[in-house]
Amino acid sequence: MTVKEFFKSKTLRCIVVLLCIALISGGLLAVCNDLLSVSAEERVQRTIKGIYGKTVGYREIATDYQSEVGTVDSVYLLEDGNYLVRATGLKGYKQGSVSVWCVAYFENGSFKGLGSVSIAAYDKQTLMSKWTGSVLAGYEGKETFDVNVSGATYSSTAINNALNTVLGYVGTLTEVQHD
Amino acid sequence: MIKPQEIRKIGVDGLLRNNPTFRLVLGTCPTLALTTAAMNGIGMGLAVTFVLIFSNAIISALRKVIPNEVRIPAFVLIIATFVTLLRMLLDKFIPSLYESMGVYLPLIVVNCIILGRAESFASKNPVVHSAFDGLFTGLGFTLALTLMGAIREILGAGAIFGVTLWDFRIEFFSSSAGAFFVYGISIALFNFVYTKVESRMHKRKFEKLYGHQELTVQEEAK
Amino acid sequence: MSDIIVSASPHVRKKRTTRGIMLDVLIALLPATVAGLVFFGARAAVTIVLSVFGAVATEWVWLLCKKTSIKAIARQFDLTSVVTGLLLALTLPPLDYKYFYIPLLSSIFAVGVAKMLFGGTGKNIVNPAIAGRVFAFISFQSPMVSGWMRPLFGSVDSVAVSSATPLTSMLGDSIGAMGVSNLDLLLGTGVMGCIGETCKIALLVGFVYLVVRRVVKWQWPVIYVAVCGLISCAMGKSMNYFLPSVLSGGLLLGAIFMATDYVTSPNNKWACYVYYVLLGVVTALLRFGTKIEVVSFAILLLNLIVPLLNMWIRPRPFGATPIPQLIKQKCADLKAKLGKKKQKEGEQQ
Repeated sequence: MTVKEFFKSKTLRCIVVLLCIALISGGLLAVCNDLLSVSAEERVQRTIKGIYGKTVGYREIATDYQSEVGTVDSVYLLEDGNYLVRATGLKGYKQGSVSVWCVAYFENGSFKGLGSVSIAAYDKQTLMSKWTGSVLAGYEGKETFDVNVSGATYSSTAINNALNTVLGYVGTLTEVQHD
Repeated sequence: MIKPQEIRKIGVDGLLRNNPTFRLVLGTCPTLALTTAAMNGIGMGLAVTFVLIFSNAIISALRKVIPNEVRIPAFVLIIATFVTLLRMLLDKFIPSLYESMGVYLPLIVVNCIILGRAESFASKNPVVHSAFDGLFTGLGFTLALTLMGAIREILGAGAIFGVTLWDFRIEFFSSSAGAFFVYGISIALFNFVYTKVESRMHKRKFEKLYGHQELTVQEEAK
Repeated sequence: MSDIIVSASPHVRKKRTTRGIMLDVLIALLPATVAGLVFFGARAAVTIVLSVFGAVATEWVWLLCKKTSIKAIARQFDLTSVVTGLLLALTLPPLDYKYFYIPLLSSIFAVGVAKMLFGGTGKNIVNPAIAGRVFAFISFQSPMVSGWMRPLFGSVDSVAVSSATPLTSMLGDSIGAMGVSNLDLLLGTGVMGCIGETCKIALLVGFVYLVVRRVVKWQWPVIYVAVCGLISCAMGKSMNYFLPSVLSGGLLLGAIFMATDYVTSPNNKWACYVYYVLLGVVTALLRFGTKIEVVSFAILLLNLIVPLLNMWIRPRPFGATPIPQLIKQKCADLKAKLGKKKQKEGEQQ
């Protein structure tokens, strides 16, 4: 095909049309993304609102605590002395992981227990719909976590790992405080 | 512009005659997966309706411009744009629905209902007609999903719209086996009722035109 | 007019009817039913009555809804729903009275969905009793998995009521952990399980009756049970597993009465061999893989591939060349082909 034929042919028209659509849509979506994106800060606020029912001030604490079965992703010290922790537990279904939010309740500086567990994210798990509100309430205030949801053993293991990692992290916190 | 009887025809088609779930049997994947509760069904249905209206409108507006050879990629591009827009809107304003839909929200891009209506209606009809077709097809989908979701929720979880009714539950209906079962029975029942009503309407129209001897000559001439 | 039967040849008259065969099956099930009642008492009786009632009622209501007259229904009543109801009851655990809806709903599902919806007797694609049992298992998991009852008879200090049966304890790597010996398993004394499956002697008596009355061919259940036992031994890596795995759980009940159902088993000999061997393999593997009673699931799975087996493994028609002659023919053909090839090469050179 000569250059002139190419310019008059169908192929060029197809390519041009597709490119135009892609560019225009891409541009519009970029604009919308700027307007509508949800920042990490807003996600934290949402979790706090979900737990407390209102917004409270918080301060982020840097940490890189990890155990052999999980890591602590982020820690927020809330105004009322509790800690909001996001942790990821490994060894889930198909070697995936589950990330959970939980609150470490402190009263007068002493650790009371973990609670208000909610699922933040998960990777390769397929049965996360089993963790309803009543199931999540079963994680309140335990010493070690070995809760097993029937039929979803691997995902349960991942969540237990995440929460036990948080317990380990809280242990380091209280050690620091004691010192 | 558009006449009321055309809207009525498109409406009846979208809701009943070409109901995407029960008559066209399109988009079965979200139907089977998201009808565990009536609320999920409504959420999915309205999301698909949103995408349908806008993608149908845009595709209809561009129908003279898009060459025939690349129409499917072009359609998918446009649909994907709107699904991404929907994702962003849901994540910002209704995060609970966003989380409950999970992976089925991006799957709307390849939902056969949207591609099917784009291919068969929007690429051949004017913009306003296509928008209405998208609206009514989406509403038909929503109704079908809500109905199936309600049945599965009442039987399988003893609740409706999240409100627990009783303690008795037959978990068969909450499982995937129950999804297929309820879907099949719903298609059978819907088509049974539909064919009966349609044949009666045809009979009445036929009798009106060519009908009984009791009719006077003037009515027959009509 | 309905007394004149038009059919294609061959015109063979036999005294056998579906009703007669089903009557034989009911008689064969009688020892197991009696054993179940003796071991589990009133709870078993209630389960059986509810299940049979649900099955028969569903069939009658269905036919009435299709506007058949009561006389016609009674005339064509061939006891298949009674057998379905009884078999289903025998595979359910002896449930507490408050779970009365389980046998009722399962039998309605079994006859209504698995049989009548597909067209009635002879047109079902899966065994209806199996379908009902699987429905009960999926829908009502906690009563079905833990509703065991200690039998009214048996070695008094054998076992406490728990949610484990001898099968589950065997799969958990400990044969005889519940103090139940092979003889106990055979007689069903002190064994927890579903109503009909505990007394194996009763089941074997039924099996002998069916073989004598030529309702069931003796080799098929034997092949199924033997293959399952052998694979279990292979999985458990010792021959001690053979008898316990054969005698625990619903294997004998499923092999004798449910896997041999005419409608849902293949219709020629070689396909049947494949079917029953596969059944044994699948049952043993799934048992060790999932540690629950899987006979019903295995039979259900393989019922679904029976049409495939029927299509792939065709029976040899009457008058076809016998196999030794066929082999000779094929060898001669091959020789001729090779001979021609050598000739061609020779010419080219």
